[in-house]
Amino acid sequence: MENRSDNQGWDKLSAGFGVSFLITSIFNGLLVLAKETYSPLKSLMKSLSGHHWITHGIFVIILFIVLGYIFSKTDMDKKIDADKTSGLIIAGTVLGGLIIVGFYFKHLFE
Amino acid sequence: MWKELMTMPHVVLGVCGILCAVWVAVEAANSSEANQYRVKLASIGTTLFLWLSYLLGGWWYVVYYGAAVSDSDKSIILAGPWKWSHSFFMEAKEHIFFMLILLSILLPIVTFRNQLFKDRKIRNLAIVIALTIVVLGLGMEGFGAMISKGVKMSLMGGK
Repeated sequence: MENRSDNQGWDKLSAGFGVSFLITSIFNGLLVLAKETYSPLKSLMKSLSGHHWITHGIFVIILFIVLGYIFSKTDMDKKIDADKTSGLIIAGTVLGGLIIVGFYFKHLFE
Repeated sequence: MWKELMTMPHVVLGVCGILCAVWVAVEAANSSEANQYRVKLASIGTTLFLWLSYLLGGWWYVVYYGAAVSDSDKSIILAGPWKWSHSFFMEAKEHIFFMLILLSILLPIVTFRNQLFKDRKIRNLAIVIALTIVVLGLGMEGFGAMISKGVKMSLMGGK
């Protein structure tokens, strides 16, 4: 059995998609703000798939995959190690979540 | 009856996804060469269950929940005292869920393309992703409960 240790070679795809998660998660929250405050955008998103939420999901998932692929072709794995990627995952979750929860928060008092 | 029954798979599959993510975290924390196949199996299980939950829940949401009829869940909630169970909990839930879907794609990338038992940092990354899925997943379950309660409050006349 091999020993558990640090500093193994780090996968490019994992690093690329880790960075992509941070950006896409924030984009997800900002797209909520944009479509809920600018109704023509929401109408356009609805016209593309029949429901704005379906289009929203398609945009988010495609952006995640495209950015992840692009970043994995760079030397992102040299700049960002797995520990930093963990931080990006947490930051992306907190920021993306706060944008969404913060935007809808006012409705709690209706 | 079909409509009512089809609310269950979304919830059950989501719980299965959460349990698989817990499994990933435990296996990763005790990572060795011998348990790598279990880490991969659990991470694929997480992905499959969360995607099935997403697709089935999304279908129910688009077709039934928000239908422009007076007896859809959304219409019932908005006619009652807990309007915010839709305007806050459902609106937030349907968009936060996308983060779970992204993490469910990222998790198997990390577990399949790295040997977790060889590197503490990568092992910790897998654990962070899995536990984030657990936290968000439990949040989704709680939000779903508040949405159901919103329908109940409307049907009970706000009592």
